[in-house]
Amino acid sequence: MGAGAEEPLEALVGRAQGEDRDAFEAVYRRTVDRVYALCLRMSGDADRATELVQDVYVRAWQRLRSFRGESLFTTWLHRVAVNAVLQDRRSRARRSSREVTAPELERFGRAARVAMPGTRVDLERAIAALPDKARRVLVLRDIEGYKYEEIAHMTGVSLGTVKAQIHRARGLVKEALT
Amino acid sequence: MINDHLSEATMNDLVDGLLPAAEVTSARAHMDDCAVCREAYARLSDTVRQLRALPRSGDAPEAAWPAIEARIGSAGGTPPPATEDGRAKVVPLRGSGPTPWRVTLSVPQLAAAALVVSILSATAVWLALPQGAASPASVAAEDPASPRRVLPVSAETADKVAEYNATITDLEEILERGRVLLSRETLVTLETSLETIDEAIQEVQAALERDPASELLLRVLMTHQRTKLQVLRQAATSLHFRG
Repeated sequence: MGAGAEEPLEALVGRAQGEDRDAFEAVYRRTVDRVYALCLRMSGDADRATELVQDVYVRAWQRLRSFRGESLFTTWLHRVAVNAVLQDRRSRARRSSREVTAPELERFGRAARVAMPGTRVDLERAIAALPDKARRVLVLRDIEGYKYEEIAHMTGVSLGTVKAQIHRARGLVKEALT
Repeated sequence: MINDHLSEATMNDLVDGLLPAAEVTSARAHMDDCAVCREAYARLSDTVRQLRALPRSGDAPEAAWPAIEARIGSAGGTPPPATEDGRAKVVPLRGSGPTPWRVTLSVPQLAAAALVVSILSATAVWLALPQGAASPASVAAEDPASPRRVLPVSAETADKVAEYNATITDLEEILERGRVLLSRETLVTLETSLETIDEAIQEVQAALERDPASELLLRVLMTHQRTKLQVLRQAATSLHFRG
Protein backbone atom coordinates (compact mmCIF):
# COMPACT_ATOMS: atom_id res chain seq x y z
CA MET A 1 0.00 0.00 0.00
CA GLY A 2 1.77 3.06 -1.21
CA ALA A 3 -0.59 5.68 0.14
CA GLY A 4 -0.10 6.06 3.85
CA ALA A 5 -2.76 7.75 5.92
CA GLU A 6 -0.28 10.22 7.38
CA GLU A 7 1.13 11.40 4.08
CA PRO A 8 0.28 15.05 3.36
CA LEU A 9 -2.44 15.56 0.78
CA GLU A 10 -0.24 17.61 -1.52
CA ALA A 11 2.36 14.83 -1.52
CA LEU A 12 -0.32 12.31 -2.44
CA VAL A 13 -1.46 14.58 -5.25
CA GLY A 14 2.09 14.78 -6.52
CA ARG A 15 2.36 11.02 -6.60
CA ALA A 16 -1.04 10.74 -8.27
CA GLN A 17 0.19 13.12 -10.96
CA GLY A 18 2.87 10.53 -11.58
CA GLU A 19 0.12 8.01 -12.39
CA ASP A 20 0.10 6.38 -8.96
CA ARG A 21 -3.47 5.14 -8.62
CA ASP A 22 -3.03 4.11 -5.00
CA ALA A 23 -2.11 7.69 -4.24
CA PHE A 24 -5.14 8.90 -6.16
CA GLU A 25 -7.36 6.57 -4.17
CA ALA A 26 -5.89 8.03 -1.00
CA VAL A 27 -6.62 11.52 -2.34
CA TYR A 28 -10.17 10.39 -3.03
CA ARG A 29 -10.64 9.04 0.48
CA ARG A 30 -9.31 12.25 2.03
CA THR A 31 -11.54 14.52 -0.01
CA VAL A 32 -14.66 12.64 -1.02
CA ASP A 33 -16.86 13.53 1.93
CA ARG A 34 -16.80 17.20 1.07
CA VAL A 35 -17.27 16.58 -2.63
CA TYR A 36 -20.20 14.31 -1.89
CA ALA A 37 -21.84 16.87 0.38
CA LEU A 38 -21.54 19.47 -2.38
CA CYS A 39 -22.97 17.12 -5.02
CA LEU A 40 -25.82 16.02 -2.78
CA ARG A 41 -26.83 19.51 -1.76
CA MET A 42 -26.57 20.95 -5.23
CA SER A 43 -28.27 18.09 -7.04
CA GLY A 44 -30.90 17.38 -4.39
CA ASP A 45 -30.73 13.73 -5.42
CA ALA A 46 -28.71 11.15 -3.53
CA ASP A 47 -28.43 8.71 -6.43
CA ARG A 48 -27.32 11.41 -8.82
CA ALA A 49 -24.92 12.77 -6.20
CA THR A 50 -23.15 9.42 -6.10
CA GLU A 51 -22.87 9.42 -9.89
CA LEU A 52 -21.62 12.99 -9.85
CA VAL A 53 -18.94 12.06 -7.34
CA GLN A 54 -17.73 9.50 -9.85
CA ASP A 55 -17.73 12.08 -12.62
CA VAL A 56 -15.79 14.53 -10.46
CA TYR A 57 -12.98 12.11 -9.66
CA VAL A 58 -12.74 10.75 -13.18
CA ARG A 59 -12.42 14.34 -14.43
CA ALA A 60 -9.95 15.13 -11.68
CA TRP A 61 -7.82 12.16 -12.67
CA GLN A 62 -7.92 13.09 -16.33
CA ARG A 63 -6.89 16.69 -15.59
CA LEU A 64 -4.62 16.08 -12.66
CA ARG A 65 -1.49 17.26 -14.36
CA SER A 66 -3.04 20.61 -15.14
CA PHE A 67 -3.05 21.23 -11.37
CA ARG A 68 0.14 23.16 -10.68
CA GLY A 69 -0.19 23.95 -7.02
CA GLU A 70 -1.10 27.59 -7.62
CA SER A 71 -4.05 27.07 -5.29
CA LEU A 72 -4.84 24.46 -2.69
CA PHE A 73 -5.64 21.12 -4.25
CA THR A 74 -8.93 21.05 -2.35
CA THR A 75 -9.85 24.39 -3.94
CA TRP A 76 -9.03 23.07 -7.39
CA LEU A 77 -10.96 19.86 -6.79
CA HIS A 78 -13.89 21.78 -5.42
CA ARG A 79 -14.06 23.83 -8.58
CA VAL A 80 -13.99 20.67 -10.67
CA ALA A 81 -16.91 19.41 -8.60
CA VAL A 82 -18.91 22.63 -8.94
CA ASN A 83 -18.42 22.61 -12.70
CA ALA A 84 -19.44 18.98 -12.93
CA VAL A 85 -22.68 19.67 -11.09
CA LEU A 86 -23.47 22.84 -13.01
CA GLN A 87 -22.86 21.16 -16.33
CA ASP A 88 -24.85 18.13 -15.38
CA ARG A 89 -27.95 18.06 -17.50
CA ARG A 90 -29.06 14.67 -16.46
CA SER A 91 -29.80 15.60 -12.87
CA ARG A 92 -32.07 18.34 -14.12
CA ALA A 93 -33.79 15.97 -16.52
CA ARG A 94 -34.13 13.19 -14.04
CA ARG A 95 -35.05 15.10 -10.94
CA SER A 96 -38.65 15.33 -9.91
CA SER A 97 -39.79 17.20 -6.86
CA ARG A 98 -38.40 14.56 -4.57
CA GLU A 99 -36.82 15.60 -1.33
CA VAL A 100 -33.65 14.23 0.10
CA THR A 101 -34.71 11.57 2.56
CA ALA A 102 -33.79 11.34 6.20
CA PRO A 103 -31.27 8.51 5.72
CA GLU A 104 -29.54 10.60 3.07
CA LEU A 105 -29.37 13.51 5.47
CA GLU A 106 -27.70 11.26 8.00
CA ARG A 107 -24.72 11.19 5.69
CA PHE A 108 -23.96 14.78 6.45
CA GLY A 109 -22.50 13.64 9.72
CA ARG A 110 -23.36 14.30 13.29
CA ALA A 111 -21.09 17.09 14.40
CA ALA A 112 -23.26 19.98 13.37
CA ARG A 113 -26.38 18.27 14.61
CA VAL A 114 -24.84 18.25 18.04
CA ALA A 115 -24.06 21.93 17.68
CA MET A 116 -27.56 22.81 16.47
CA PRO A 117 -29.92 20.13 17.78
CA GLY A 118 -33.24 19.91 16.03
CA THR A 119 -32.62 22.53 13.39
CA ARG A 120 -30.16 21.08 10.93
CA VAL A 121 -32.28 18.38 9.36
CA ASP A 122 -35.08 20.88 8.87
CA LEU A 123 -32.63 23.22 7.23
CA GLU A 124 -31.32 20.51 4.92
CA ARG A 125 -34.87 19.59 3.97
CA ALA A 126 -35.66 23.21 3.21
CA ILE A 127 -32.60 23.45 0.97
CA ALA A 128 -33.45 20.20 -0.81
CA ALA A 129 -36.99 21.42 -1.49
CA LEU A 130 -35.82 24.60 -3.23
CA PRO A 131 -36.18 24.99 -6.99
CA ASP A 132 -33.09 23.74 -8.79
CA LYS A 133 -31.47 27.02 -9.73
CA ALA A 134 -32.25 28.62 -6.40
CA ARG A 135 -30.79 25.67 -4.52
CA ARG A 136 -27.59 25.61 -6.54
CA VAL A 137 -26.77 29.26 -6.11
CA LEU A 138 -27.77 29.26 -2.44
CA VAL A 139 -25.44 26.34 -1.74
CA LEU A 140 -22.61 28.03 -3.61
CA ARG A 141 -23.10 31.30 -1.77
CA ASP A 142 -24.12 30.52 1.78
CA ILE A 143 -22.62 27.08 2.33
CA GLU A 144 -19.63 27.01 0.03
CA GLY A 145 -18.81 30.69 0.43
CA TYR A 146 -18.41 31.80 -3.18
CA LYS A 147 -18.85 35.48 -4.02
CA TYR A 148 -21.81 36.62 -6.07
CA GLU A 149 -19.52 37.52 -8.96
CA GLU A 150 -17.91 34.09 -8.91
CA ILE A 151 -21.31 32.40 -8.96
CA ALA A 152 -22.46 34.58 -11.86
CA HIS A 153 -19.34 33.57 -13.78
CA MET A 154 -19.72 29.89 -12.98
CA THR A 155 -23.40 29.70 -13.82
CA GLY A 156 -23.25 31.99 -16.83
CA VAL A 157 -26.05 34.27 -15.70
CA SER A 158 -26.01 37.92 -14.78
CA LEU A 159 -24.97 39.17 -11.36
CA GLY A 160 -28.41 40.65 -10.81
CA THR A 161 -30.11 37.35 -11.59
CA VAL A 162 -27.81 35.47 -9.25
CA LYS A 163 -28.51 37.89 -6.43
CA ALA A 164 -32.23 37.71 -7.04
CA GLN A 165 -32.12 33.90 -7.02
CA ILE A 166 -30.17 33.81 -3.79
CA HIS A 167 -32.42 36.34 -2.12
CA ARG A 168 -35.43 34.33 -3.18
CA ALA A 169 -33.87 31.11 -1.95
CA ARG A 170 -33.07 32.61 1.42
CA GLY A 171 -36.63 33.82 1.70
CA LEU A 172 -37.98 30.36 0.91
CA VAL A 173 -35.69 28.72 3.44
CA LYS A 174 -36.63 31.30 6.02
CA GLU A 175 -40.31 30.61 5.45
CA ALA A 176 -39.76 26.86 5.56
CA LEU A 177 -38.12 27.14 8.96
CA THR A 178 -40.89 29.27 10.41
CA MET B 1 -46.61 54.34 11.07
CA ILE B 2 -43.82 53.48 8.63
CA ASN B 3 -44.87 52.77 5.07
CA ASP B 4 -41.54 52.41 3.28
CA HIS B 5 -40.03 49.20 4.62
CA LEU B 6 -36.58 48.03 3.73
CA SER B 7 -36.48 46.07 0.51
CA GLU B 8 -35.49 42.43 0.41
CA ALA B 9 -32.41 43.37 -1.59
CA THR B 10 -31.35 45.92 1.01
CA MET B 11 -31.73 43.42 3.83
CA ASN B 12 -29.76 40.81 1.93
CA ASP B 13 -27.02 43.28 1.08
CA LEU B 14 -26.87 44.20 4.75
CA VAL B 15 -26.54 40.54 5.72
CA ASP B 16 -23.84 40.08 3.10
CA GLY B 17 -21.94 43.20 4.15
CA LEU B 18 -22.40 44.65 0.68
CA LEU B 19 -24.43 47.72 1.61
CA PRO B 20 -22.57 51.04 1.35
CA ALA B 21 -21.75 52.54 4.74
CA ALA B 22 -24.19 55.41 4.42
CA GLU B 23 -27.01 53.02 3.60
CA VAL B 24 -26.07 50.76 6.50
CA THR B 25 -26.53 53.65 8.86
CA SER B 26 -29.83 54.54 7.26
CA ALA B 27 -31.09 50.94 7.30
CA ARG B 28 -30.17 50.43 10.95
CA ALA B 29 -31.81 53.70 11.88
CA HIS B 30 -34.94 52.55 10.08
CA MET B 31 -34.97 49.25 11.92
CA ASP B 32 -34.64 51.04 15.24
CA ASP B 33 -38.07 52.49 14.57
CA CYS B 34 -39.66 49.71 12.50
CA ALA B 35 -40.51 46.47 14.25
CA VAL B 36 -41.59 44.79 11.00
CA CYS B 37 -38.22 45.31 9.33
CA ARG B 38 -36.36 44.57 12.53
CA GLU B 39 -38.13 41.23 12.82
CA ALA B 40 -37.72 40.40 9.13
CA TYR B 41 -34.03 41.23 9.23
CA ALA B 42 -33.50 39.19 12.38
CA ARG B 43 -35.09 36.15 10.74
CA LEU B 44 -33.12 36.59 7.55
CA SER B 45 -29.80 37.01 9.32
CA ASP B 46 -30.55 34.02 11.53
CA THR B 47 -31.37 31.90 8.47
CA VAL B 48 -28.16 32.89 6.74
CA ARG B 49 -26.18 32.28 9.91
CA GLN B 50 -27.59 28.76 10.11
CA LEU B 51 -26.84 28.13 6.45
CA ARG B 52 -23.25 29.27 6.85
CA ALA B 53 -22.84 27.04 9.90
CA LEU B 54 -23.79 23.88 8.04
CA PRO B 55 -21.01 21.33 7.70
CA ARG B 56 -19.37 21.20 4.30
CA SER B 57 -18.71 17.53 4.62
CA GLY B 58 -20.87 14.41 4.56
CA ASP B 59 -20.36 10.68 4.64
CA ALA B 60 -19.99 9.56 1.05
CA PRO B 61 -21.31 6.10 0.08
CA GLU B 62 -18.63 3.44 0.24
CA ALA B 63 -19.51 2.12 -3.20
CA ALA B 64 -18.25 5.11 -5.14
CA TRP B 65 -14.55 4.29 -5.39
CA PRO B 66 -14.76 0.91 -7.21
CA ALA B 67 -16.84 2.58 -9.91
CA ILE B 68 -14.33 5.41 -10.23
CA GLU B 69 -11.45 2.97 -10.37
CA ALA B 70 -13.21 1.02 -13.11
CA ARG B 71 -13.88 4.16 -15.14
CA ILE B 72 -10.32 5.37 -14.79
CA GLY B 73 -9.13 1.98 -15.89
CA SER B 74 -11.54 1.72 -18.79
CA ALA B 75 -10.49 5.15 -20.01
CA GLY B 76 -6.98 3.78 -20.28
CA GLY B 77 -6.43 6.82 -18.26
CA THR B 78 -3.25 8.26 -17.12
CA PRO B 79 -3.37 11.92 -16.19
CA PRO B 80 -2.59 13.98 -19.29
CA PRO B 81 0.54 16.11 -19.08
CA ALA B 82 0.27 19.80 -18.30
CA THR B 83 1.06 22.37 -20.95
CA GLU B 84 3.25 25.43 -20.89
CA ASP B 85 0.72 28.20 -21.23
CA GLY B 86 -1.97 26.68 -19.06
CA ARG B 87 -4.60 27.24 -21.75
CA ALA B 88 -3.94 24.48 -24.19
CA LYS B 89 -5.13 21.13 -22.98
CA VAL B 90 -4.36 17.56 -23.75
CA VAL B 91 -6.93 15.29 -25.25
CA PRO B 92 -6.47 11.57 -25.49
CA LEU B 93 -7.36 10.70 -29.06
CA ARG B 94 -8.37 7.11 -29.09
CA GLY B 95 -6.30 4.99 -31.41
CA SER B 96 -6.67 1.35 -32.18
CA GLY B 97 -3.59 0.29 -30.28
CA PRO B 98 -3.37 -0.38 -26.57
CA THR B 99 -1.72 2.94 -25.81
CA PRO B 100 -3.84 6.06 -26.32
CA TRP B 101 -2.37 8.65 -28.66
CA ARG B 102 -1.94 11.98 -26.92
CA VAL B 103 -1.17 15.34 -28.43
CA THR B 104 -1.26 18.84 -27.09
CA LEU B 105 -3.75 21.10 -28.82
CA SER B 106 -5.35 24.50 -28.43
CA VAL B 107 -9.15 24.81 -28.31
CA PRO B 108 -9.53 25.51 -32.06
CA GLN B 109 -7.18 22.67 -32.86
CA LEU B 110 -9.13 20.46 -30.49
CA ALA B 111 -12.34 21.42 -32.22
CA ALA B 112 -10.91 20.62 -35.61
CA ALA B 113 -9.55 17.30 -34.42
CA ALA B 114 -12.83 16.43 -32.79
CA LEU B 115 -14.68 17.11 -36.00
CA VAL B 116 -12.54 14.66 -37.88
CA VAL B 117 -12.89 12.04 -35.19
CA SER B 118 -16.62 12.54 -34.88
CA ILE B 119 -17.25 12.26 -38.60
CA LEU B 120 -15.20 9.11 -38.85
CA SER B 121 -16.74 7.62 -35.75
CA ALA B 122 -20.30 8.48 -36.61
CA THR B 123 -19.90 7.08 -40.09
CA ALA B 124 -18.44 3.89 -38.73
CA VAL B 125 -21.18 3.48 -36.17
CA TRP B 126 -24.03 4.02 -38.57
CA LEU B 127 -22.50 1.71 -41.15
CA ALA B 128 -22.04 -0.93 -38.49
CA LEU B 129 -25.58 -0.81 -37.23
CA PRO B 130 -27.77 -3.71 -38.29
CA GLN B 131 -29.85 -2.99 -41.35
CA GLY B 132 -32.39 -5.74 -40.85
CA ALA B 133 -34.32 -6.66 -37.79
CA ALA B 134 -32.71 -5.21 -34.76
CA SER B 135 -31.07 -7.49 -32.31
CA PRO B 136 -32.64 -7.35 -28.88
CA ALA B 137 -29.19 -7.40 -27.39
CA SER B 138 -28.11 -4.13 -25.91
CA VAL B 139 -24.59 -3.00 -25.45
CA ALA B 140 -24.16 -0.94 -22.33
CA ALA B 141 -20.90 0.94 -22.18
CA GLU B 142 -19.12 2.39 -19.16
CA ASP B 143 -22.04 4.09 -17.47
CA PRO B 144 -25.47 2.57 -17.97
CA ALA B 145 -27.13 5.54 -16.31
CA SER B 146 -25.88 7.95 -18.91
CA PRO B 147 -28.06 8.69 -21.90
CA ARG B 148 -25.01 9.06 -24.08
CA ARG B 149 -23.38 5.82 -23.10
CA VAL B 150 -26.04 3.28 -23.94
CA LEU B 151 -26.82 2.45 -27.50
CA PRO B 152 -28.71 -0.74 -28.14
CA VAL B 153 -27.03 -2.50 -31.02
CA SER B 154 -25.86 -5.99 -31.75
CA ALA B 155 -22.87 -7.22 -29.85
CA GLU B 156 -20.75 -7.12 -33.00
CA THR B 157 -20.87 -3.34 -33.04
CA ALA B 158 -19.73 -2.95 -29.47
CA ASP B 159 -16.40 -1.46 -30.50
CA LYS B 160 -18.12 1.07 -32.71
CA VAL B 161 -20.49 1.99 -29.92
CA ALA B 162 -17.56 2.51 -27.60
CA GLU B 163 -15.96 4.70 -30.23
CA TYR B 164 -19.17 6.67 -30.59
CA ASN B 165 -19.34 7.16 -26.83
CA ALA B 166 -15.74 8.28 -26.79
CA THR B 167 -16.47 10.77 -29.55
CA ILE B 168 -19.42 12.19 -27.66
CA THR B 169 -17.24 12.49 -24.59
CA ASP B 170 -14.53 14.26 -26.56
CA LEU B 171 -16.99 16.68 -28.13
CA GLU B 172 -18.53 17.47 -24.76
CA GLU B 173 -15.05 18.08 -23.45
CA ILE B 174 -14.38 20.48 -26.32
CA LEU B 175 -17.60 22.31 -25.57
CA GLU B 176 -16.79 22.52 -21.91
CA ARG B 177 -13.35 23.95 -22.55
CA GLY B 178 -14.64 26.37 -25.14
CA ARG B 179 -17.56 27.73 -23.14
CA VAL B 180 -15.82 31.05 -22.72
CA LEU B 181 -15.65 31.49 -26.48
CA LEU B 182 -19.40 31.30 -26.90
CA SER B 183 -21.91 34.02 -26.17
CA ARG B 184 -24.25 33.49 -23.28
CA GLU B 185 -27.22 33.23 -25.63
CA THR B 186 -25.49 30.61 -27.74
CA LEU B 187 -24.46 28.65 -24.69
CA VAL B 188 -27.96 28.67 -23.21
CA THR B 189 -29.48 27.62 -26.53
CA LEU B 190 -26.93 24.88 -26.97
CA GLU B 191 -27.34 23.49 -23.46
CA THR B 192 -31.10 23.64 -23.69
CA SER B 193 -30.99 21.70 -26.95
CA LEU B 194 -28.69 19.08 -25.49
CA GLU B 195 -30.83 18.81 -22.41
CA THR B 196 -33.90 18.21 -24.55
CA ILE B 197 -32.10 15.58 -26.60
CA ASP B 198 -30.84 13.85 -23.46
CA GLU B 199 -34.35 13.76 -22.07
CA ALA B 200 -35.61 12.25 -25.32
CA ILE B 201 -32.83 9.67 -25.25
CA GLN B 202 -33.69 8.76 -21.69
CA GLU B 203 -37.34 8.33 -22.54
CA VAL B 204 -36.57 6.01 -25.43
CA GLN B 205 -34.09 4.04 -23.35
CA ALA B 206 -36.72 3.57 -20.68
CA ALA B 207 -39.16 2.38 -23.31
CA LEU B 208 -36.53 0.01 -24.71
CA GLU B 209 -36.05 -1.51 -21.30
CA ARG B 210 -39.72 -2.41 -21.34
CA ASP B 211 -39.72 -3.49 -24.97
CA PRO B 212 -36.15 -4.41 -25.90
CA ALA B 213 -37.12 -6.04 -29.21
CA SER B 214 -38.73 -2.95 -30.67
CA GLU B 215 -36.99 -2.00 -33.88
CA LEU B 216 -38.92 1.26 -34.01
CA LEU B 217 -37.66 2.34 -30.60
CA LEU B 218 -34.15 1.37 -31.57
CA ARG B 219 -34.34 3.51 -34.69
CA VAL B 220 -35.76 6.43 -32.72
CA LEU B 221 -32.95 6.11 -30.23
CA MET B 222 -30.38 6.07 -33.02
CA THR B 223 -31.94 9.20 -34.48
CA HIS B 224 -31.72 11.00 -31.15
CA GLN B 225 -28.12 9.88 -30.70
CA ARG B 226 -27.27 11.12 -34.18
CA THR B 227 -28.95 14.45 -33.45
CA LYS B 228 -26.88 14.84 -30.33
CA LEU B 229 -23.74 14.11 -32.28
CA GLN B 230 -24.69 16.70 -34.88
CA VAL B 231 -25.41 19.38 -32.28
CA LEU B 232 -22.10 18.76 -30.57
CA ARG B 233 -20.30 18.73 -33.90
CA GLN B 234 -21.84 22.08 -34.81
CA ALA B 235 -20.70 23.47 -31.49
CA ALA B 236 -17.20 22.20 -32.17
CA THR B 237 -17.32 23.82 -35.60
CA SER B 238 -18.33 27.10 -34.03
CA LEU B 239 -15.44 26.91 -31.59
CA HIS B 240 -13.10 26.08 -34.42
CA PHE B 241 -13.97 29.26 -36.31
CA ARG B 242 -14.05 31.45 -33.21
CA GLY B 243 -10.64 30.29 -32.11
